[in-house]
Amino acid sequence: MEKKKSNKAGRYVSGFLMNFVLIVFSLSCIFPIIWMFYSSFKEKRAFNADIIGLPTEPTLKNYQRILTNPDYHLPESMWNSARTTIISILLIVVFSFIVGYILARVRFKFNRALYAMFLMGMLIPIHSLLVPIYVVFNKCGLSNRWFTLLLPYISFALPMGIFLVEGYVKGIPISLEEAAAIDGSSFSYTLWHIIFPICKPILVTVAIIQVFSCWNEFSFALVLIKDVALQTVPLALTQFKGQFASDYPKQMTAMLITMAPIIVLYFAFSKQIIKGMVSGAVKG
Amino acid sequence: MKKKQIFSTVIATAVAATTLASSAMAATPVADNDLAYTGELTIMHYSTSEESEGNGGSDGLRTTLAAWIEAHPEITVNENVLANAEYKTQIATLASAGDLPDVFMLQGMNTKAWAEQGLIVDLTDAIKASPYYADYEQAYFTPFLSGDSIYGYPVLTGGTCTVVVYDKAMWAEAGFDAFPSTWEDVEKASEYFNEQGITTIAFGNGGKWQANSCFLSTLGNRYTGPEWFQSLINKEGAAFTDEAFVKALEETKRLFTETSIFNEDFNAVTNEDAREYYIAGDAAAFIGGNWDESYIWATLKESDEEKWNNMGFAVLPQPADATEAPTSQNIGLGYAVAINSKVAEDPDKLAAAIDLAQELTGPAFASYVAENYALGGLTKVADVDLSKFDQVTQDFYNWSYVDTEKCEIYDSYINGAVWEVLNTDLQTMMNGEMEAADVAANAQAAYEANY
Repeated sequence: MEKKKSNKAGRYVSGFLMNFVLIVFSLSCIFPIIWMFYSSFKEKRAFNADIIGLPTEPTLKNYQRILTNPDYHLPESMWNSARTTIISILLIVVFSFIVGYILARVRFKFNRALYAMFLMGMLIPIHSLLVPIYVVFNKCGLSNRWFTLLLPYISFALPMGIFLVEGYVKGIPISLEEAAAIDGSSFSYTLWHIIFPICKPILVTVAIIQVFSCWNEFSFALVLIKDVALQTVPLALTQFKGQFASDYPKQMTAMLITMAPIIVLYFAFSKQIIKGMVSGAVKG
Repeated sequence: MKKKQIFSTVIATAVAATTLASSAMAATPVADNDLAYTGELTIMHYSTSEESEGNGGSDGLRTTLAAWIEAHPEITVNENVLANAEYKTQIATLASAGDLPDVFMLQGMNTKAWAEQGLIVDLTDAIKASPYYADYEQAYFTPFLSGDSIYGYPVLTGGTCTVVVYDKAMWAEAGFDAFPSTWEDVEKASEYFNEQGITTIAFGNGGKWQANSCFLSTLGNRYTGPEWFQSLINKEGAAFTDEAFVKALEETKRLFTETSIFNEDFNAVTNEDAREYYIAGDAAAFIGGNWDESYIWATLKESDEEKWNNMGFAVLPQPADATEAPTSQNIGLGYAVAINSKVAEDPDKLAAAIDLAQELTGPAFASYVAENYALGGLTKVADVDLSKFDQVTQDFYNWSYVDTEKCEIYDSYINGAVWEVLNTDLQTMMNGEMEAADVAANAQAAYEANY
């Protein structure tokens, strides 16, 4: 009887501890956003005097300054980021799917060598390629254009996408394609109307991973884009940093403004995103 | 040879045009010189809109550049403006790719390497023939020299990197009419301040660069004198391991580890945090650069007028065993307007670029920053009328440009890799975990490997 009681108490304690750890962990994830939100209502001086404290004299001056100063060009940078991200994601998903499927299903002489080459792309540190890529882009007249960033974003995302799709397709029974072929389905019909819908979960996973990586990418944007009108959000946000001092509340306000579309998108598609991530995790 | 002749002719033409035009106009507006070039001119700088808020140099540069663009509608100026850290990354990439913008800001420590690689135009003749040459503060050219050649027009404003901002009233209560001129007296004062629960001097070295730029650079000069650093720059025999420099490191270590002058968290907080200790009255003095002074000035003016009126400025106190320049403070211009050597292929374009560089650092810029911010740049302004400024601003102007001796800012020269090693070791040493001789030896090894 006593043993049963102590077991019950132990379960309560371990349950409490586990929940406590998870709550602390969750708060550590959420707190930066909350901190950014209330700090955006502080002025620089108030923020420097008390970094964590709540605003004592809340003000909308940061929002007003950012939204009325054309030098900050935040709307243009958001548009540039959105355009680059959307086009990149579409092409990453399509190319990853086609190449991943072919590498998983079609037997040809250098199949594995090609697959290994794609995978090696994941091992190359981006910073080591900045200067050579800049030189190539410049020589080909590809730098400082609206489409400039699409090329590196797609190229550097493909290894990961191909790796995930290839593994996922291998898990799909080949009898599905055989049945389709018996029924007279062409290669492209089978690819787009039978395999593509089955691969949706892993493609959503690829898209989610790459949306964040494209939206936040900084190094290529810094090196390949010179025109202020073509800057993406991460580049535009650097203007709030001075050589010797930074206006953090203004920087946080700008980050909140630029985060808004992504947050709206997340809430609008949260169900699909979570479903995609879970399916990808289990089957990928 | 032919190229050199064309280049000299272009310089002479540009200078003659500038002289003719500028002689006929007032000193402050941008000289509207007649330039033959029509087309695009790219300029890259880091005076962002944000940077220019309250920063006289950046505001002056943006204003002068806008005036030059307006005066030359036939030239399309393409501006690429990035924050300073990103600017440095992008300009380094562009230099590696041999694709620098036509006109850009050259950091002192890149001068020698980029000059040797032929990336930048030798501007010696153009500068010497400038109509403003007589008014140039010659000392500001030093970081932009390679041999006897000058590779840039020093730009923005010369601001001190090491100023002691102190509260006159607090120090008077401690028995000092002015800030002490020796560290011995500061140590005595710290006994009084510690009893009051007040930090004697607030300092922040959380970013690692502050101890070098805002302390050692001036303290080192008190031990070594200016010739030692010149010799180090010119690779003429001086070494970080020389006794005088090691003594400066030892004194730095002693002050930060064996006395109770500074805030205990000096190695964890940045200058931005440390200056808040001073503003809040938790510290009787603060050591930082001109950028900190302008922040403290603006904040106190708005929040505590009495404390603002009590702002005083002093040089670093002199160590007991130091023998050189007791009133020195490190001041200079870290960047210069430089021109891509490819621009020299088009003589008219080069003339336009030289004209732009000359105006961005000339009397128009200098008058603007002197009249609006009480600051000085490359071109000296005669009889700056300080009367419209408050007493604190006047005091700081006189302290910066008139009453003190100038010395060099270490990290405007040599090589970033060397300073990275020194700054990291310096921070460790100030925690009491490293000996001065080891810091010097590591810096010397980095110097020999990278410079």
